Amino acid sequence: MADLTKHLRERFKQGSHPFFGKLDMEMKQASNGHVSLTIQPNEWAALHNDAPIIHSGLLALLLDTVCGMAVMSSLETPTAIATIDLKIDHVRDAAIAKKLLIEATVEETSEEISYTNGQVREEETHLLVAKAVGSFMVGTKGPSIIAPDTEASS
Amino acid sequence: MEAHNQLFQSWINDSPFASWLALQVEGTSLGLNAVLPFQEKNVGNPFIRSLHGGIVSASMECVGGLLAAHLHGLDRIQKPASISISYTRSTTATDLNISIASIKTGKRLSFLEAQAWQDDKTKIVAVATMTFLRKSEETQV
Repeated sequence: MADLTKHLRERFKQGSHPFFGKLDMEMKQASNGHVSLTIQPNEWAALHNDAPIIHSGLLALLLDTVCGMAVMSSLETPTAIATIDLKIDHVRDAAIAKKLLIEATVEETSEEISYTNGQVREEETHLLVAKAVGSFMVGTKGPSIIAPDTEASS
Repeated sequence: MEAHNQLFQSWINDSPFASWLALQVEGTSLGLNAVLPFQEKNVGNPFIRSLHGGIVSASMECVGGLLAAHLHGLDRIQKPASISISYTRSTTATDLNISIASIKTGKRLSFLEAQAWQDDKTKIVAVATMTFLRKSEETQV
């Protein structure tokens, strides 16, 4: 299984990622089919200009991405993946002032499909904000976005 | 619904994240049509130049939030209680079209269904269902 923690930390440090670059993110772990990171939202993430809560679409975007990272960290060799299905429940509003803990885990991989679950929680209280169940096709066309150099040279 | 186009656009302008997506929305007799204009930031896999799946789901959810607001007589983009999306085809680095309509709208809950496609309307790239709860007045943000 791959340990992508350092690789992803470096990518976020650059601040060039189109949406992760807009959030203050700390990657804690991305290895062995488990990803854990925190984000500090800001006004860009708000549902409305004057609302203190996060836009649910942004949470969907983050959960899709973090569940996909968990799949990539579960693979022996870099492989292209694609989301097949994603179900998200928005359990409660999250204040943009609160730091969020986002985690995702691969539950099982069978017949080229990885089954994941993910959660967004308030970091301080661990209150559940949103939860996701996602399935990913492993081995789609094209190189893995995580380790293109490895793919290109293989 | 067509008469509300300026209103829908003002609701997008009122939402920083929806504005960042740069969605263009118009009402139809059945619901809403929207376009997510292609931008480089929407690319998820730079090697095959496909759209980020999360950008697709976030856009469909935003359009749902506009329709739900209209159906529930509210004046701002709404967030769903839940969304379920299936990615039926790979995408390319072009505009994304979205259409959405209500399956059933009640006093408290709306059930919406959306499809997304790119150059060919017969080639659906994603389908989504979402459920919106109209909160009681005292819990409206």
